[in-house]
Amino acid sequence: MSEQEHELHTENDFFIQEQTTKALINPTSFLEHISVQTNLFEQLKSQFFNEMLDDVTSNGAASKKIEQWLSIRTLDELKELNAQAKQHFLYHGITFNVYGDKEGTERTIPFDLIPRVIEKKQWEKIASGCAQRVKALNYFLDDIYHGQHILKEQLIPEEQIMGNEAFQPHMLKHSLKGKIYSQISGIDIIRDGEGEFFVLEDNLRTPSGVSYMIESRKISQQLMPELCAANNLQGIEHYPKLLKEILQENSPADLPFIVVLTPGRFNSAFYEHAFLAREMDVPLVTNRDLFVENDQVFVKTIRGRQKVDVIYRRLDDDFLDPLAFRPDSALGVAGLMSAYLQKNVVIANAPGTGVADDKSIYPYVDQMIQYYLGETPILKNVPTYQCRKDEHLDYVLSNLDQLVVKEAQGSGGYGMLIGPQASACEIEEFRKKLIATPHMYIAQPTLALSVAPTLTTAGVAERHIDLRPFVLSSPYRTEIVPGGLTRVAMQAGSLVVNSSQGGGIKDTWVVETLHS
Amino acid sequence: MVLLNSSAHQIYWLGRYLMRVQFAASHLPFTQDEEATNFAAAFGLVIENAELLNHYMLDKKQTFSLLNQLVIAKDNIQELRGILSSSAYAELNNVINTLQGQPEILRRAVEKCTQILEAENEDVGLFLYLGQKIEQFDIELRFGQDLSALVSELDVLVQRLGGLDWENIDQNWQVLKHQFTWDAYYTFTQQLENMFEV
Repeated sequence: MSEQEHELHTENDFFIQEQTTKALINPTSFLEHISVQTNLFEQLKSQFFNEMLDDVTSNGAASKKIEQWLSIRTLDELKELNAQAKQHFLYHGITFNVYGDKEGTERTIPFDLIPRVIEKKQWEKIASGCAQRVKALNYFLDDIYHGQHILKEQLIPEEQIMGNEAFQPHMLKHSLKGKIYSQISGIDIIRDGEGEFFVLEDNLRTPSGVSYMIESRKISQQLMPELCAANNLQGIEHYPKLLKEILQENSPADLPFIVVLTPGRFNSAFYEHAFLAREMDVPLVTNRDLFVENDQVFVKTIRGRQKVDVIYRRLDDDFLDPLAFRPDSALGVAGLMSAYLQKNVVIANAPGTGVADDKSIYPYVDQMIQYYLGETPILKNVPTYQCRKDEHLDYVLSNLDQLVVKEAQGSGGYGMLIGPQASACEIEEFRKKLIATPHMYIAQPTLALSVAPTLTTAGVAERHIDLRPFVLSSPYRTEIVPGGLTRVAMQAGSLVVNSSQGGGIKDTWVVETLHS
Repeated sequence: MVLLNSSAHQIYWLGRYLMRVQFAASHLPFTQDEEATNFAAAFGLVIENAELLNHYMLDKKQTFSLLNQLVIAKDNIQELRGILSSSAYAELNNVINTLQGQPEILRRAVEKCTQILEAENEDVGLFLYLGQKIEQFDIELRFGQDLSALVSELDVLVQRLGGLDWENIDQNWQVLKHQFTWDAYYTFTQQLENMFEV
């Protein structure tokens, strides 16, 4: 399984301070006491940045329409609509398996009816910031696998790259069309207490969640068609078509044959793999469908072998090819890397791409943007302390109870210390680890994630959210469908947006008319 | 749509399981012990009591139960998720998820699944039908029934497979259609299995 496939369901949303979110509406008197005039959302004001209330750059037109739409419905009616959404997900099998769940129960991801609204101008900043970031990251990957100028100029310590477990020596001197290593990127974005956008994490391996983004829109349009129509939403439904075009453009072949490579139906993101294959009208394959002969990759079809030109892989590097990587991989295709290095097949994203989204590399992305593009970063990084640096380590050790500490090469929220939530014992345990192996850790301040109105069993309440836009890159263009996956911590007081722990999703509306 | 060998294999076995369930469900409930004994014996089971066989056929703990056959069919459907239309997958998923251990409901569920799959496309229909007819051959061979009509139907299917360059199976088919023996049957179906792996 891919780390980032897993990450959708075990997110590292631990930047938020543990504060109880505000209870909002009396569930039994939703209509009696709340009306458009009394400002339903206004009652949600709290210490957190509320995306529907606190954005001074917005005139709130879309928020008002949503508020009005909510206010003329009873809580029971809204709950019924949410129940219909759940039924839609169940009926269509839009479910996931939770790893370690002994029951093996398929779960639906909770969907919140109330959309998250992003003004077009804000979106343009997010989109241009994500595009800038991915462009720089692709240049960085090309550089470290070729001239290594950024290392020679000591902007990034060489040992952090060469010693990184995601660095793939196979990729050295291997050139890619248009220097595109990450064709599909997911950039995790949060807003802080002031509403400022920050990049929390780059996902360049196999970012998942785009199918939920599209399904959220479908269900929104089913359940509140008039509200969708009234807000002139920017479309996202063309994502699979764009993805197919982008994959084609990364291939030297004129009419490349594309497949989606999945680890199989037990993978938690299998629904998404099947969704994308079906929507692109390309085969969904496992390793047993593929074979390599004379450095060419073929897929077995009922009409004979078919040469494969592009593999959109949804499994980690380690499992791609037992001859090149883990010899015990039962998911890979023997000889695939050889075919790849002969440029007979495109693997998207490229092997070795993960080195660019490593947490120890993340602090350098701003410098990469300046170094490769000569530009100022549009989106900010969360300030990050690199414990390998003495002065940073000193600060971290002195402020452990205030910081989030992560393993530099960890993922999925494992191996972390959330200072404000940790016991004295846990803090001391981490202190010892940091002193023993400081290079293995980074630390960041705890941030208060923004909140958005969310329908709960007790009425509308504020819940923390984040955003994952998906960036598609080819040698000829960068495409980002307007929106992304908004994840929401559905549980009262919960700070975790991961779906395996009750986290849910919202439709993300990029609207043109918010700004007056 | 490009149909993979592995997907065709899943469809073929889905056809076999659906036919198997349909056949067994059509005999339930058994009321005569002798009838139950003969039925069970045809499948290598020693169950000489009609009530007991009725119970076992709907008991999830028994690997041969109809409900378990449908669990396997559900696995086949999951594997086909990348090629089935979203509406077909949803309908199939719903049919299987709402199954109850009652013969009439099972029969209707199988009919519904078959209808949904047949409507998908020609290739899906071909391998579904192939699976159903091979399973029917298996059943009729077990019960010593007249296979001539079925052989004619399979003849057409084998010819259609020849159009996909699967003519390798023809030789063993010619043997089977003239010798209704288990050896010939196993040789033919094994060759069919091999074709899915090529």
